[in-house]
Amino acid sequence: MYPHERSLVSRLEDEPFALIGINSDPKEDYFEAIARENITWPSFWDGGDTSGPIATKWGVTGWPTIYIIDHEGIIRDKNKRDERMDEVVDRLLEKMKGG
Amino acid sequence: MLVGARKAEVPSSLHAEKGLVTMRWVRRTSRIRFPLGALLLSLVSSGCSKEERAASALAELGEAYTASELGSVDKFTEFTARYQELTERYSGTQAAMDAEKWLMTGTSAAEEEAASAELAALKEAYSESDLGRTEKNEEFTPKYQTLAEDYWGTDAALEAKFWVMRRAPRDERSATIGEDTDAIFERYGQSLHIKRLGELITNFSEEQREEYFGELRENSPHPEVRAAAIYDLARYIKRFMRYGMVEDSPENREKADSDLRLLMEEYADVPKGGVTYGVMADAVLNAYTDEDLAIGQPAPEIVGVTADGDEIRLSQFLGKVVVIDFWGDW
Repeated sequence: MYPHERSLVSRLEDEPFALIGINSDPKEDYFEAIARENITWPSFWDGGDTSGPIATKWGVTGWPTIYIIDHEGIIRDKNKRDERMDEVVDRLLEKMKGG
Repeated sequence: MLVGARKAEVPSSLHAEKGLVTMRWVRRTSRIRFPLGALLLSLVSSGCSKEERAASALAELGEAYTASELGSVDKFTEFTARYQELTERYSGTQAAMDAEKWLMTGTSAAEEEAASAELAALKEAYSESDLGRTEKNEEFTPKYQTLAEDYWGTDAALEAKFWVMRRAPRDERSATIGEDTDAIFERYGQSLHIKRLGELITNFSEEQREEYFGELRENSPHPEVRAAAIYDLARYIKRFMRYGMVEDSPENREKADSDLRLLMEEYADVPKGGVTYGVMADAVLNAYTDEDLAIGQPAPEIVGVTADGDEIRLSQFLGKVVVIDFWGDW
């Protein structure tokens, strides 16, 4: 999961795009994963376990869970991973630029 | 006769140690008579009875305990000394008796440390074992069981016991879980460690859930345990109503919701993980519906912190295409 997301983030470095994590690990594990996997994108830290407040409020019961949101903050897709995630993101970026 | 009358005043303790508590109470009541003059004097001079001062000192200590950010072992060491001091200073009061109860169920810091080190080693050995799942569980069950017995009373022992209980063969499980949980209440009923009981919630029958979590919320001296008992049951009901494992009735809904509101009112600042029961109760009570999070809906705002403690908001990223990724490193 990390390599794909790393390459997406670096490919779209100069684009109006952001990958935001919501992390459910204990703090030590989180820091360890960030360093080991070279995770450069921002993450919310969700209280240290899978029953954290953000995951609970969003009803997340499986990990990873993905939401893809356009530049106006509208939910445009869910749970698309890898190449399918890229496709959705690229489409939304094009749509944004096309007005 | 007097003893009988006093007995009725003993707060109902959990299953065990009732006899012990009663004995201590009787011993203490006999002590009250002796320093009556001193008691009256202090009553006059302070304008507030020893009972009241003791009760407020105990409440303060309970709050300090809840607010303390020490690890469980350090916290136990520090607070053992403070509870001890309270029992001596206010001897003869109800609060001193409650403080003694706290001390009775405690364990030493050294014991807690040794138990948790052994448990960590056992978990590592389990995860490194090359055996198949069934053989592995068969091999490790007696080891976890031994640890639980050797260190009974510690947090690690309780975790080990849960491990064994969850792996009991399905056909034996319902028979043994009641006995096992009764034994847990005997030793841990007054202890802070029993806040873990929610880890077993899916293994209990409905009756058992009501009994055990009801008992903790009524009788535990620890705000953290009472809050956990209320939260775990309410969350269970809300979650499993969705899957049809708990009846989706207005009564069940209202029961869960009113308990969550109670948490927000009375236990808002009690810590849970990195947050509080106030925050968690709000998250369950006001969880988004599937419609709220449907494609085409505006994404709800998220306000939170990074692991470094910096504030972060989803709305900061408006104007960009955003992928929100709920992830964990496991």
